[in-house]
Amino acid sequence: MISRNLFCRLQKEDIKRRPWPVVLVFLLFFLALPVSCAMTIENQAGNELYDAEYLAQMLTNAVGVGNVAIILISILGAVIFGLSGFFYLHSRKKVDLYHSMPVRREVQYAVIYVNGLGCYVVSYLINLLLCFLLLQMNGFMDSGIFMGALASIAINVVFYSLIYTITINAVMLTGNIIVSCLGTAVFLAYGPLLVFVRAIYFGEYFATYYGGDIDTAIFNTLSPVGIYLVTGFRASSVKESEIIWMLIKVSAVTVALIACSVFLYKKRPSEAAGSAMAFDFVKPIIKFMLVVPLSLGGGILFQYVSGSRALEWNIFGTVFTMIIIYAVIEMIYNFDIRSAFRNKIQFAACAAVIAAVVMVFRFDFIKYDSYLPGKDSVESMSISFEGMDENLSYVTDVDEQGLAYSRVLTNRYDYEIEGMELTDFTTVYELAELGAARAEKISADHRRNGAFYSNASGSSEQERQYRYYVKFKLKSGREIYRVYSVPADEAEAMVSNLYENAEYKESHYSVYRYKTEDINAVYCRNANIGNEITVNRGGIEKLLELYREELKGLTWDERTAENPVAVLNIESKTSNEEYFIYPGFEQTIAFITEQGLDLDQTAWEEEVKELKVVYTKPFFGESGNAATESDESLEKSVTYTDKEQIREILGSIFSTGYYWCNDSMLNVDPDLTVWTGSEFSSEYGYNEEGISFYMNQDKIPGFVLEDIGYKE
Amino acid sequence: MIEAMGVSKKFGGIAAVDNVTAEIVDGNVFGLVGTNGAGKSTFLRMLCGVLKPDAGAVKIDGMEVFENVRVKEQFFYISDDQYFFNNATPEDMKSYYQIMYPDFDGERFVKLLKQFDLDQKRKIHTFSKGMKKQVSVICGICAHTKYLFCDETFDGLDPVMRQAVKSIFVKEIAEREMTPVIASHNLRELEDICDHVGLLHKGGMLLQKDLFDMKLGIHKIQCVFQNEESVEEIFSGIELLKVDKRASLYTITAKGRYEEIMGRLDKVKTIFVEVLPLTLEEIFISETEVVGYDIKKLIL
Repeated sequence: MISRNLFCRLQKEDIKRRPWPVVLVFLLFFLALPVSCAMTIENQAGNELYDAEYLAQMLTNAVGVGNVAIILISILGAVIFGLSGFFYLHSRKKVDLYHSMPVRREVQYAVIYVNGLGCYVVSYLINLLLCFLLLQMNGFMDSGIFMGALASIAINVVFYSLIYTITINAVMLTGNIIVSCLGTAVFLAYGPLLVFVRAIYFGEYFATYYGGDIDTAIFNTLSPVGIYLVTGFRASSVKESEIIWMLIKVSAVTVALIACSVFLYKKRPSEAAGSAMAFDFVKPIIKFMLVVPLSLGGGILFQYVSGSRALEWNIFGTVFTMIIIYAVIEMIYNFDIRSAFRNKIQFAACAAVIAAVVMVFRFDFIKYDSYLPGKDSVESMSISFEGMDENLSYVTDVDEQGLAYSRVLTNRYDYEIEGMELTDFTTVYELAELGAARAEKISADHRRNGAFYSNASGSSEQERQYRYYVKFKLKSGREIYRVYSVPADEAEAMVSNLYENAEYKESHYSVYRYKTEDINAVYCRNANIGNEITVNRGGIEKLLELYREELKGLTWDERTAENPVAVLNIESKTSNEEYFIYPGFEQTIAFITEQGLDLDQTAWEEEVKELKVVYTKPFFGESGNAATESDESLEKSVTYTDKEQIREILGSIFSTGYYWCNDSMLNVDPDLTVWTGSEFSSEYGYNEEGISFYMNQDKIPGFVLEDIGYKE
Repeated sequence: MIEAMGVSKKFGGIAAVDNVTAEIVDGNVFGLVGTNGAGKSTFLRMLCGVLKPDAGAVKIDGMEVFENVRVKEQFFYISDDQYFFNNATPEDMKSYYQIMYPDFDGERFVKLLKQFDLDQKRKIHTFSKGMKKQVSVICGICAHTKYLFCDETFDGLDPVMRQAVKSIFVKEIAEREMTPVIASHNLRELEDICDHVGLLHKGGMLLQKDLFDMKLGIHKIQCVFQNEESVEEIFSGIELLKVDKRASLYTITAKGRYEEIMGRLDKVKTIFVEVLPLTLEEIFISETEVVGYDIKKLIL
């Protein structure tokens, strides 16, 4: 049993041997904590728009969780301390000294490990104390900042330990300083590399691939840096128990890695100093793990760069990258350029695996695109459409103060896919069947032609498509994600059917989940000309009740044929969303009118004195280039002043805002626009050409078609 | 006592040490000689537990060396290129070794540094190669360990310093039965200090003998005969290792009992007879020829 005295003396000697990482980390903490806080206080104090709450928040962020500077210092410090502590293993001279000393390797390891951790923690704490002192002197110190700092210490120290231990493992496996650095980089970035290559391959070869949150999950799991960043940035907006559970898991992994590194340290032969790898059995494993994904990635890279995206370029890129990567690794292993192609059997094994992977993707041996889980095995499904209700913002991550700058806009599709669980999924399953059948057909066509598939819809430019993301949640707990593209006319009936499913509607529209007390404000504006009112506080609940009821009754035909008359803007603690009010929402319209916003369309339509219909022909010259502005034949416009014609045109329009949020759902040709004229622009503040609209292709009046020569 | 039993070590398929068995008795000075690449350093690194033998066992005082702190406390290893910490002074090294070796004699360290005219506050990286060797020897002596493993320690020392170091070794051996194990490629460096020698060649131990025992069987005689005599006839039946004649002066190296060799000379008339001390090289010539090697090809 080693005495504490001896342990401390060894620690002191170790620090004497490598003072520079200690100094570096201390200085970085000094700049990131007390100096940064002092600057923040000074800048705010001299600001005319001084906001105490904002400053307090900034100071909490500076010492609390999610401070990017502290995260970066922790990552850098972990790598530097991890590498410097065991660098002696790379030098025969040093190994001869240290390993001939009467000290057990476990003790030697513990001394170095504890020093690397301790120096970081002590530097952090000293600078945090300086920071507290500074804040106290300036009267900003409070319990919130203190608790935030404590949480920050816990998170940063745990993740520092993880990255530090991973770096030490890299050093243990290698015998050379450069190879150790490369090894550390591989350990820290291998997960994202795999995810990246996998995502590209799936996206390139499979029409129905949808990465979604799976990739993020793998990124989080396989990359210590990734999981650290995600945890650090999200810590203030998720439950404490979630963070604590995460820290426990990370600590458990760290302990396992410590055990692994101690084992390697004990087993590591001293003669490994100076060689590339400390253990021969690791060499082929590492080589294989690097050559296969990097070669596959190289193939895809060449294919992208080539422009033609032909299979030949992928094959060339894969072979070329494989040869280069394999040769480089062998040269590093042997420190000899002539050893580039040693171990021909391993080379052949790598080539065979790569070829097998390419074949699996190329010919879809796993039937990825056409695969559908048995309906009986599905527990629930979710679906999210592109180009439908894009106005739903799904803001989810907000700090306690609800300050706008800390909000994170969540990917709408991911949010909907993860949140929706339809137990009545017959229609969604039918849509998936339709999509899978079409994807299989297109993929097969592409493969027959010898070309890769790349998430293309396989349709002509003119054909309107529905593109939707689907998640199957199986009874076994497995989740399957797909994205499908189908012609709108083939799926129209199914989508219409789905839209009338109350379960879908309640999951799709978060207005059904709002509690009145969570809503900060509701605004309402005329969809066409932009007048706006703020709904009084007492009326919010009633308005939402009416809206929800009438939204339930809204049919697919109505929402794809009618132009909304108004827009509700609901601002809650967690989101800011817009909802359209359709002409059929009589009770909602009546209530809003009572609140003071006139939504009578006829009155507005009466004001329109003229309408200009503009048709921009999709013209391409002989060279294939788009026509220029000077080409007079490109654009044709007709101005209407006849009241009856204006009324008829206005009956076929969609507001631009509505179209932009529902471009897949609405049968609109964006080359055909309607303009109100300049008098509207001056009155309502729109641009000089007035207010613009799109036309519902199903309702374009015959005289318009004739006058502008639509699609002649 | 140090025992190496059938010790082997390979590096990447090449046998650096191959089935070596050796025994080093306490209180002796053991010289390990061999050409470059003979396996001396590898053998020493196994003796001090830096390397783990692939086969066989290394024991010191009956205990396995590898990863055994109790054994490691018993020796100090001076490698052929001793590592000193970056920017370290002799004083820094002293404080480090004082932690590692509880019996480290700090006062003696300072005293020896003065004797060798080395500044204890000067950075070691500014020292010459010989001065660094001196520092490492002083560290080894002051560690006060039972065994001292020296790898090419005399290489780089000037003759005066070499003699000074040897005299320190002799003093230590006399005072506290220190057992130095000295590896060298140069026989002449060892001949006046070793009393037990092992010859390594291509990873194997060609021979290992007590120098005194070896000397007993080989004799070097210088003589002048009164009349012209045939040396071969005089010493018929006795193995003559070397016969050198300069004018009438013969220098004869013969293998056999001292009494018999001198008895043969008594039978002929001589003007002058003198027994000369044998060099280690001469002893080795004899011994290696027995096992079929030509010593001149093996070592200097």
